[in-house]
Amino acid sequence: MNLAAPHIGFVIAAYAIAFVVIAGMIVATLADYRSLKKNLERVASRARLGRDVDS
Amino acid sequence: MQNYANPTHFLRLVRGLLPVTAGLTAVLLAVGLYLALFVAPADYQQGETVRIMYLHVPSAWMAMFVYLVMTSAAIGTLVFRHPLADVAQKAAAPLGAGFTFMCLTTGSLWGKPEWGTWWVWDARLTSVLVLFLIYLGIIALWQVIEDPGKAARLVAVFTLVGAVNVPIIKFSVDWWHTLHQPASVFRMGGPTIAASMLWPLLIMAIGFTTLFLTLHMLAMRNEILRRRLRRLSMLAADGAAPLSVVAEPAE
Repeated sequence: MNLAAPHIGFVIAAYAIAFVVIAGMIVATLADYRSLKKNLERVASRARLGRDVDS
Repeated sequence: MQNYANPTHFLRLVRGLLPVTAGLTAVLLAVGLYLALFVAPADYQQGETVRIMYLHVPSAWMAMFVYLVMTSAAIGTLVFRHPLADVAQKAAAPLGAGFTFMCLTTGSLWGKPEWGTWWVWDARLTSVLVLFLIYLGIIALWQVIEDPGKAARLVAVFTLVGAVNVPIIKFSVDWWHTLHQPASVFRMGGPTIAASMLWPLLIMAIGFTTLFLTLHMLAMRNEILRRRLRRLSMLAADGAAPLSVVAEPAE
């Protein structure tokens, strides 16, 4: 790739945008998973605690 | 397919498939990017700007492919009532929106040096913009309707209605005179692109497809956990959380 070619800025911008969009989709999906897992464990442990108190 | 109607079975399948699809995606995108940026020649007319094609075309294909996946899922919801169909549909929508956004922005960045304009209201560009708005509408519908069952049916109907836009996108360049060029890969008579440019394009397209499959499986897993969390929270609010619900593995 010739970095001195005309309009090369458009090519770099396109690849930068694609990188940001793909990285955004990956990070958002993984962050959602971590948050859900944490909440699920918190609710499950609270439910177990409640059952232990009842018994 | 019915064997994987059980979310726990599906999660087990995802755990086995994820390393394969993620690894394949990394390899395909690395090879595809290397070929696209350093091996494929510059175009004799467009020069280096032709390298935008290796992002723009695969993202455009994915924008339509993801919608076809969602349309199949919508049929799965309405006709077969498959328990994972609406999970698949909901998980795919933000990914489809992401690919469509990428298609529109890279297309705009390609259009400015080649056509002299960032945007033109031509049939191809406008129909892809409509597809992006449909994706946003579907995401919004999922957000505003609290009951997942009711949301699934409404979104499925909306998705099926929106599916009419997919052939319009595909054939817009044949049906109308557009500034956008006609199909040059999937066309009667074979591709018109030189092999040195076609191979990087196809490798990037397969890489984008495996990327979607990987992210879709992850997003479906998230949605299953979200529903499990919702169910568990409701049971906890009622003062009863059966052990079967609590003991289900997180993945």
